[in-house]
Amino acid sequence: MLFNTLQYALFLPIVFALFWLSPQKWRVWILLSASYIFYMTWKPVFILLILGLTLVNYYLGFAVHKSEKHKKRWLTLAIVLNLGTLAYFKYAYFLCETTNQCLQPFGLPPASLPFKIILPLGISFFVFEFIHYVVDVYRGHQPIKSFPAFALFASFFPTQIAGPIKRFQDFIPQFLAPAKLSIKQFDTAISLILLGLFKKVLIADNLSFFVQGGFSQPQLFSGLDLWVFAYAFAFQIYFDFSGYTDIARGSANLFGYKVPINFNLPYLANNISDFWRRWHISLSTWLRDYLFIPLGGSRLSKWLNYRNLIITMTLGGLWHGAAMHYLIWGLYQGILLVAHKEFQAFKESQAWLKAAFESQIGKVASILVTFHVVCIGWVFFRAETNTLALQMLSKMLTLAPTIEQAAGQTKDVAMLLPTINYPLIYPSVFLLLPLLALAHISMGYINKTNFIERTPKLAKIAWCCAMIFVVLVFSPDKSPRFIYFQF
Amino acid sequence: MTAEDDKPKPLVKKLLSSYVICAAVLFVGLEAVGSALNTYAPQTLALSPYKSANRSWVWWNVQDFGRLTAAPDIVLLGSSLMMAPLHGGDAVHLNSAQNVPLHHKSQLLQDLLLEKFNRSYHTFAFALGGEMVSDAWAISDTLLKGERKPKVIIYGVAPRDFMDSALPSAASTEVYKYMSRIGDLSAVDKDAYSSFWQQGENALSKISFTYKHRPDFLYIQHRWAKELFRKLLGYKELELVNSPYHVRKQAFSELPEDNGPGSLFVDPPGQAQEPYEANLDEYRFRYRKINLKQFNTQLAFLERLLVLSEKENIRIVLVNMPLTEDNMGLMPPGFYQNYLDKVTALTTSHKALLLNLNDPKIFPQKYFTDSVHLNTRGGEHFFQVLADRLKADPETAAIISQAGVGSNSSIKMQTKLTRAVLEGLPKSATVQDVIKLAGPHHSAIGSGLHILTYPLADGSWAMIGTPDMKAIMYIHFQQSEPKSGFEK
Repeated sequence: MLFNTLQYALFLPIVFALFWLSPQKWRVWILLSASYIFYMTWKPVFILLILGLTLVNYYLGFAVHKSEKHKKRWLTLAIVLNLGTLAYFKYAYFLCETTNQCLQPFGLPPASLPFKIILPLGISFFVFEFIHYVVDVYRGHQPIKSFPAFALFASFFPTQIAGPIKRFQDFIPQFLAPAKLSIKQFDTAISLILLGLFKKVLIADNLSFFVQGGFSQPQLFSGLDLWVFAYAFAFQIYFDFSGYTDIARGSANLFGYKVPINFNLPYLANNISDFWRRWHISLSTWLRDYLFIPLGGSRLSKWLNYRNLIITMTLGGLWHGAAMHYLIWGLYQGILLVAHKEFQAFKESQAWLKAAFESQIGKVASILVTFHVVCIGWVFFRAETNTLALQMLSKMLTLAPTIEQAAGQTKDVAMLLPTINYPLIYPSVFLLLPLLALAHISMGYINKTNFIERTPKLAKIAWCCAMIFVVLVFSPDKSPRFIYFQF
Repeated sequence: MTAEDDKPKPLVKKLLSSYVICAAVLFVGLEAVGSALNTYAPQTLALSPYKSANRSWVWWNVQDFGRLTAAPDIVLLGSSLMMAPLHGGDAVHLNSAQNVPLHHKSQLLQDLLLEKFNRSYHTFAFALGGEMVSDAWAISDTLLKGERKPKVIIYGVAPRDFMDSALPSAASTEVYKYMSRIGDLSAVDKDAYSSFWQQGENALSKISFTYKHRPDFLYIQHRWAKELFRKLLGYKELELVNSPYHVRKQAFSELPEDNGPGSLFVDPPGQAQEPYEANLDEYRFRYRKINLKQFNTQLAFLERLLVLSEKENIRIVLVNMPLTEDNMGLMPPGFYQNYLDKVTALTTSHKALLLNLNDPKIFPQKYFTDSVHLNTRGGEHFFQVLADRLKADPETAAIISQAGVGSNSSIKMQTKLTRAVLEGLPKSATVQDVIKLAGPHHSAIGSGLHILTYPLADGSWAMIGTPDMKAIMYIHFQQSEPKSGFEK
C-alpha cells in the first residue's frame, strides 16, 4: 500500500478511528494488526518473514541479555541471521552475477540461481532495526519485555517500508505510556501528511518524468542538459524521500508517536560531512553507531580512521541496492569524507584560508561547491549502470556542447525540432529548479523564526485548503513508487 | 492534552479550533460553490472537457471531429490494427507522409468508393492504438449520434480488443477516460470499473467537484505556465520539446499520452520490401492470461454498440482484421474460434455485416509489418479488398449508394507545395513569411487532414494540409493550439 493512494486514504482514518475509540490496552494490538495488514497488501506471504524475524530477534534479545558466558555468541548469531536474511533476499543475484564476472576469464560456466527471489518491501529498514536492538541489548540496554510492543517496533506501518530507522529506546516508552490526542497534535499530523503529499505528488513525481528522459539516454543530450538533469534528480530524490518521511511522521503523530526527522535542509550543507548530518539522518547515525564505531571509529590512527570511513560509506552505498553503481556512489562518499578531513586539517593550518571560508562569500561558495559535489554523486546513484554514469559525467565535466542525432530519426521529426542543437531542453525546469532552491533556502529562515507557529489561523486554513486542492488535482494517475521503497 | 484543551468546550467549538478541520470544512464549501457555478453559470469557471493538458490520440480525433461541418458518411473504428492500414494505405495512395495525430480519414477508401459508386464520400477515422470494444462503444455512444451520426460504421476487430492482459479494466484506457469526460457513460460503470478501488475512484470523482474536474484544472495550470514561460523566457515552441521523440516517449511512459502535432509520421514505402518487426513477445504478454470476465464484458460492449447502431439506424460492418499465423499460434487453444463464434452470433442476431478478412490467402506475410499490423502496401490492399466486399454485400451497397454526394466534388490540384519548401523557412519565420511563400494559394482551412503543423516565431502556427484533395497545400495560421469545433 502506497501512502499516495486511495487505499491509504481509507486505511489511515479507519485505523485512526479504531485506535482512539478503543480502550488503551487494545491499542497496541490494533496498530500491530493494522501494520501486518498494511504489509500483507503487497505480498501476503512475506508476513511470515517479518513475523519470523520478529520472533527470532525477540528471543535472541533475551538470550543476549541473560547469557553471561556466551553473550557475544548470541549476538553474533543474531547479526548473522539478520544480515544473512538481508543478503539472501537482496544480494543473492548480485553475488551470483559478480562471481560469474570473476569466473568468466577462466572459462568456467556461469552459475545461476535455481529459483526467483523477490525482494521483500522494507527489509533493509527492519533488518537494521533488529540489529540495532540486539546490539544495544548487548551493550547493556534492557530488552523489550512486551512481545506486541516489540513486534510493533519492527512493523509499525508508518515507518515500515522506508523508515526513518527507529531506535527502540525512543519508540517503546511512547507506546507504553497512555496516548492522548490534542487538537494541536492532530493539526500538526495532518499538516505533515499534506506537506508530504505535496512534496511527493507535485514536485517529485513531476520531476521524475523529466529526470527519466535524461538518465535513460544521456548520449542524446549536451553537458549543460545533463547538469540540469542532475540538479532535477537532486531535488526529486530529496522531495520524494522527505515527502515520504513527512507522511510517515504525520501518520505516526496521529497515534501519539513522534518519529525522528530524517532531513535537515541537506542542500544547505557547507561540506560533505555536514551533508551527512543533514541527509537521511536515521541511516547515517545507524551507520555511525553500528558500523563506523565498532570498526574503531576515529579513535584509531588517521589512516585507519580513513579506512573506516570508506568501508562505512561503501557499505552504506551497497545498502541502497545490490548494484555496482550504488557501491561506487558509497565509495565516492567515503572518498569525499576523507578528502574533506584532509582539507579541514590543511585549512586549519592556513589562517588566510580559514578566514576566507568563514566570510559570507566563503560560506555561500562552500554550500554551492558541496551541492555540486553531491550532484555528481547522484549521477552514480541514479544512472542504471556505471558506464552510463561515467558517460554522463564525462560530458558534464567537459560541458560537451554536442549531442548525437537519434538513430533512425526521420527528416520530418527533425524538422519539427528546429532547435534540437540547443542545449536547453525543457524551459519550465529553469523556473522550477531555482524556485525549489529558493524554497529550500527560505525553509531555513522559516524554521529559525518559528514562522509556522506564528502564522495566523486564517493563513493556516488557506494553506491547508490549497494543499488538499493540489493533492487532489496534481497527483498523477500512475504515481511512481517512492524511490526509497526499492531499498 | 494541553492546558487549553483541558478546559471543557462544546464539541463543535473544540473541533473548530483545529485549523485542519476548518480547512476541510472550507474546502467542502468551496467544492459546493464550484459545483453550483459550473452548473448555473458555466461561463464563470469556463471548464471545458474538450480542453486537455495532454493531447492524447483520442483528443486529436475529437478536436478534428468537432470541426466537421457535416456528419461523415462513414466512420472507421478499431485499434492500431485499423490505424496501420488507414495511414499506410493513404501514404501509398497519396505518395506522401501521413501525420498520424492529424490524419483522421481514409482518402483511399473515399477514392475507391468514388470509383465503385460514382459518389463522393466523407470518411472519419476513430481508429486508435489499443482501442478496446468498450472504447469503440464509448466513442459511438458519445459522438456518433444525432446530427453527427454516420450512415455506416466500419469497425475492425481482433481477439486482443476483447481480452488484453495488459489492461486492468475497460475504464483504464485513455480513450475511455477521455470519452467519460465528454459523455455520460455512468450507465455502464459496473462493467467498466472492475476493481473495488477503481469504483472507489469513480465514486470520488462523482462526489468531489475538484477530483472530477482535475483534468480541467491541469489544463488551466498548463495554460498559465505556458503564458508565464512565454513572457519570462520568450519561448515560442512550448508545444514541442527539444529532445528526440522516442526519448520523450520513454520519459513520459508513465504519464498520460501526449502527442505533438507532428509526433508520428507514416511514410510511403520505398522500392525495397518493408521491414518486418518481431513483436511476438508483446502479444505473448497480452494473451498470457485468459480473462473470461474481461472477454464477456467486452462482448457485452459489442452488443451495446450493435444495439446503439440499430437504434440510430447506422449500418455496422464488422471486419475481422487480418493477423499472421504466428500471432494466431500464441493464442490459447480454442480461444480464437470461441471469439469468432461469439462475434458471428452477435452480428447475425443484430443483422450487422461481418467481413472475415483474417485469411492468409488474402493477406500473406508480405503484407505485414509485424505479427498483427499491416504494412503500407498491406494497408492499400486492405482497403481495396474492403471496398470490393462492401460493394458485394447488397444491403451495405444499397446504403452506401444512398450516402455521399452525387458528383466528384474534389478540387483539382492547384499547386504543389511540399514540406521541403517549408523546411527552407528560417527559424524566425512569421505568419507574413508563410503567406508570402504560399502566394495566392493562402487560404483558411476548414476541417480535414492537415499533414503538418509548424510553429512560427511569433507564437502562431502554420498548418499545411490536404483536405479532400491530393497534394493541395493550404497555409493556415492561428494563435496557439487549434480549437475544437465543439467549443463555441
